[in-house]
Amino acid sequence: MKTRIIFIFVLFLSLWTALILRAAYLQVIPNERLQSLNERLYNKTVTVQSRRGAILDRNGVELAGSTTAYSLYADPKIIENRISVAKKVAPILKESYHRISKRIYLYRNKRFVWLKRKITPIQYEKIKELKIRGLGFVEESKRIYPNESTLSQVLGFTGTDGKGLEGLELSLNSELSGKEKKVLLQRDAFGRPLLLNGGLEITHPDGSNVHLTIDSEIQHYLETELARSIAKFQADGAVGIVVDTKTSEILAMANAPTYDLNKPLKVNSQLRRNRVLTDAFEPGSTLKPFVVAAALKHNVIEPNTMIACEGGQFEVGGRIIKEADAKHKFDNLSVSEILAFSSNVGTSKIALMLGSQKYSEFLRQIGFGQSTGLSFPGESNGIVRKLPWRPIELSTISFGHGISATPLQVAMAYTAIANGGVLTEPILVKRIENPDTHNIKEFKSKNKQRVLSEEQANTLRLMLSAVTMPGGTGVNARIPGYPVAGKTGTAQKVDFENGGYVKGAYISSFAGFVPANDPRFVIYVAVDNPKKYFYGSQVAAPIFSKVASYAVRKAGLSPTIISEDNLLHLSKNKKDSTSIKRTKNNLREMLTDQMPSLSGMSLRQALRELKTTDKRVVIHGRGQVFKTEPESGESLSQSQKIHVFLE
Amino acid sequence: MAAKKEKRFNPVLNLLIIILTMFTIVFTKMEIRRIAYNVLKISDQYKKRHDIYRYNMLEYAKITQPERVRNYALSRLTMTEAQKGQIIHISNDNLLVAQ
Repeated sequence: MKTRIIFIFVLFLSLWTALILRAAYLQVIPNERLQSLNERLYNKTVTVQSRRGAILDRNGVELAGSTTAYSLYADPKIIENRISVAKKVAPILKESYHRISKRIYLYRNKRFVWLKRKITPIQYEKIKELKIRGLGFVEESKRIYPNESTLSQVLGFTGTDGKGLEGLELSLNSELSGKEKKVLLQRDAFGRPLLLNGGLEITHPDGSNVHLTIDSEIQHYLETELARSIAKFQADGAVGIVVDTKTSEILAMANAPTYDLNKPLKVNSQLRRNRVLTDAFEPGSTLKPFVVAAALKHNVIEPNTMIACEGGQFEVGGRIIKEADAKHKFDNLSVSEILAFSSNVGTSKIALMLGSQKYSEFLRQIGFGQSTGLSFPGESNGIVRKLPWRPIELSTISFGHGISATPLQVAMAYTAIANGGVLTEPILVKRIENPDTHNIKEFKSKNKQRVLSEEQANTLRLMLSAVTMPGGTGVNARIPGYPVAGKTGTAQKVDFENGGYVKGAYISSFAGFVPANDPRFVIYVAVDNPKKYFYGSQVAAPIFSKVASYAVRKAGLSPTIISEDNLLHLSKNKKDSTSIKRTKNNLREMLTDQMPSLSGMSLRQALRELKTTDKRVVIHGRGQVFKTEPESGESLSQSQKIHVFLE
Repeated sequence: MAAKKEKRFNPVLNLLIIILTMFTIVFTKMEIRRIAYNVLKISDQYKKRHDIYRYNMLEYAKITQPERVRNYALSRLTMTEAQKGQIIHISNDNLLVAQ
């Protein structure tokens, strides 16, 4: 009996020992065959796609960003009551339940149907909480442009696969996309991933974030003013650019009309072009300062050199050079006056004195006919004719015809004058940050070459200031309290089909910088084919004035004391309201040549405001003033009548 | 006698120790798995929070877009755009006429 008990005990002990030893053998002792089986079954290499990086402006405002979006699908064969499911899901998706129910019904024999693509994370969470059998989600990435149409032609957009197709999205695609990550994971029996060797989180690696030099507020303001000018002058389009003189950073680059980046394919591809860089056109009189600059550089002229302007007509090579305005019949003008009055004859003569070799060389030195170095897709180099130039060609090039340049090239050439004579590379991307590696790449402008001495640049700045003085063509570009330097341009549009120029079609432009004594902003504005008015002084100069005044206010630049007339002394009691009233009166006196603001006034109030002006007032409608022509702040000198619209 | 008893119990004790050690190893591995599931759950939650954060940041950017702010100021706050000559810069004791 005892033997039997011992035998059974030993038997069970042996069996259990064998079991334990077998378990130990499988779990503890390394076995290559078992290891490889394990790896094959439970290990998997997963490719994790990176999330596309964001594009931000210089102040960190998000211009383009990616977010996870979930697309909702249904398995119609599993869904028991489609109407009930549709009624639960429809309010969350903000759709009609009929539509959802119908969709499930139409695909009732299939195992998959999209209900809605790319829903928000909040919608996703709410539907997931419902735990409806037969509904599932596919994770996707969605590119969002929160500012919609701001900076649209510059930013560009991505395709459905998330790759950049135009603009910065295309040129910076490799930085924004980031790199996909390959992760080796162990999975359990249900396929859920496990940690390997003590820790590896599954997170989506992010592409780099790109910080631009653009100030989105200046950008928006410029776009708004360009859009207004298109509406007012019934123009075909407009472009504008604002450059920081000190750093050559591009603060704004605008094309009008714009388009909504969230729906890029709904507009014509021509509208999506960044015309500031891709379109080269004849700059017209905005090129005149550069023939003067070249002549100064080669000591051909001085600012006070007198040039005979032949009464407004000058024969060169069998052709007649005329002034832009037939009424201009100048006799002798100084070089400063040639710029101020925009004399074609005067600049032709300066160009002929300079010679084509020197002028051509200078134009190339200051950046025309070559890339600016911005590396933007589709950037045009413009055209500067190869030598030799005939005398008539030299003359026409001197006042901006027979040469083509992009708005950016013109702006950078003016920046060279404004910053003391150095041509620099513009920059649009300030820095690129990788959020995973925290690696930061910063970009700064490079100096290309010195084109003018500082003294020559200062002389030219002073001469360009005269353009905006009373009597000059750029008077409408003035900003009270800040000296402005610049040049107007009115260039005929080239007829690409038939050759020559399109009759009655012009590009009105203004290029300048402010404040003239210590330039901070260079601004170039061009309006394509304005109707009714077409001179740069009437169309583009006022846009420059508004944008420049906004930019200097935003930057907090103190006004420059121009004369004692600008100063009003406060009484010692700073709360004295009479000094404020006196200020308002003085303002009114100083601005009598400008249209006052009548918005919201009744007819009686408006007529009282306009009592001081000698213009004829034409009333339209009844009620309160909502619009005037000219608009408030604009010069009255060129208007015969004032139209007041009431409703 | 006590020494004989000790000799009799030693093999059993050793076996017990071995069994306990093996159980400890197995238990530790199970614990690692459990922690791994927790980490997976937390990383999933983190990812969702991060997605909601990104979505909210973009919504914020939409709300604060300059055009929207301008329209709101003009229509709801009855503000008007600054006209030329309306803004006066003050510098020291003098009023400088500008803008």
